Amino acid sequence: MVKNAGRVGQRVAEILELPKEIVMDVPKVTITGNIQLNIENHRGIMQYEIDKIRVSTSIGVLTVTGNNLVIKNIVPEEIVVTGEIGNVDISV
Amino acid sequence: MIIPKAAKYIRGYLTIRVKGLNLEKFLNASISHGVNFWDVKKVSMTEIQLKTSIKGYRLLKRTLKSTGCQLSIIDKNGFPFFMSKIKKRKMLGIGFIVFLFMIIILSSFIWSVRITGVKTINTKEIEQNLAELGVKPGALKIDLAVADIENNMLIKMGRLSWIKVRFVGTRAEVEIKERVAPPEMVADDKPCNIVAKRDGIITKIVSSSGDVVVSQGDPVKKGDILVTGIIERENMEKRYVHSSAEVIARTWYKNSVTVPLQQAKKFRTGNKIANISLLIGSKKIQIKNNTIPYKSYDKIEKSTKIIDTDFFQLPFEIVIDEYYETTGKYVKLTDEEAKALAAESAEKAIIDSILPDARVINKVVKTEIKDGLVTADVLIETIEDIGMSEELTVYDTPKQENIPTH
Repeated sequence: MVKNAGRVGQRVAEILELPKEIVMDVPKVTITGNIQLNIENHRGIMQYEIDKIRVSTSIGVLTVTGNNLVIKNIVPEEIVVTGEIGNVDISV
Repeated sequence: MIIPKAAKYIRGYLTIRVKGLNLEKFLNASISHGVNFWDVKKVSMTEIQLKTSIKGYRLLKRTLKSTGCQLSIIDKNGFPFFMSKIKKRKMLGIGFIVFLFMIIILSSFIWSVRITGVKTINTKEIEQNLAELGVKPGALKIDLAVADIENNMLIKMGRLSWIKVRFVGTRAEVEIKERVAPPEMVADDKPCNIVAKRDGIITKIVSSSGDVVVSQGDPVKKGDILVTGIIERENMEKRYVHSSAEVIARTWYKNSVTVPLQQAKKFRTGNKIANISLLIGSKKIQIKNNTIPYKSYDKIEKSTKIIDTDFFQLPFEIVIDEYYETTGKYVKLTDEEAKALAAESAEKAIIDSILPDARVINKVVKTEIKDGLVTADVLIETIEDIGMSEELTVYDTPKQENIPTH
């Protein structure tokens, strides 16, 4: 049932061209160059080191690796990470 | 919901360090409590540094216990902390506010009046008239309506042709232009002749109205009729017109000045006494006052304003009166010096009286020394318009034609 609901949701979003992250509760990652990264719709920080940040989301764990990573801003729905961003791993 | 930095500063924020093992748990817990923090940096394996608002700081302290972390304050920034510092030094804050008020109030007044553009009018007269209208040191700027003052000044002083009053900082800047008396003109509807106002030789004569009775090259004397307003033609009655013409002629001016070779001159002996006083507004307070023992002296008054910039003046002046003792001595001028002095003053007198549109074409200076006196005779030739309107007296009353000149 959940799988079907997910599929239907995707189809509806596509036909009506609604923003997917709102319809399907998935995180949205915005990378600006290699200096800033936005993660919207997250579920908390799992690990924070100077060279690695792991964020929990509805689809799994999102890993950001790099250097001098600083959490510029953190609010319940959004994290802004700045620093030298090397790798963003969203494979679940 | 990312608040701009300025708002953060105004509300005040703290920089704190959190030490512990479950730092990520601490962060998540704080977020769920709604704490707003930013610039999170990892400083060591067990320590992070972050900035948060004052409200956030209080909330954070509560989550510390449940996650087993320690907190230390590194820095305090922002307006609320500034205010608590000020509260400990109330007088400083109050003094600052009083200072601001004083500046504002003092700059709403006029403290000095400066008049420019004066050539022959007595400056004191202008100052007095301005003072009557309210423009004087100590006057409130908002009480003065510039347009009314300008109009009233023009009405009061007929010798002003233009006046502009404006306030620059605490100074009233008054610019004037004097009225140059126009040459006496005969009204346009009255018949008139053009006569010579000086002796001269005609070089060019062009008339737009009236009959020309002289020609190029004629010598004329002061008062000769150059263009007549009485028009007589065959088979027509006499007509009277308002003549108008441009009469350019070569004319000359003479002047003679005598200067004695020996002149009585005042010399300063070198002795000097200075008195200092302070001028506040219009009150003079003596600081150093000595009686002057010299029999004859030059008095030089030097006054400097304290704080006299283009934007801001205060009516405080330091007045230094210097008295230089003098004696009379007879100075003998050399022949050359005396000749030069006489020639110069003779020339100057002529140049000052010539109209601006006269063109100087020649200058002859003759000097003579006799009986201890130097006489300089200066002759200046110019080319200028020597025409002048002179009203026609009409004896009988024939047809009068009123021809306007334009």
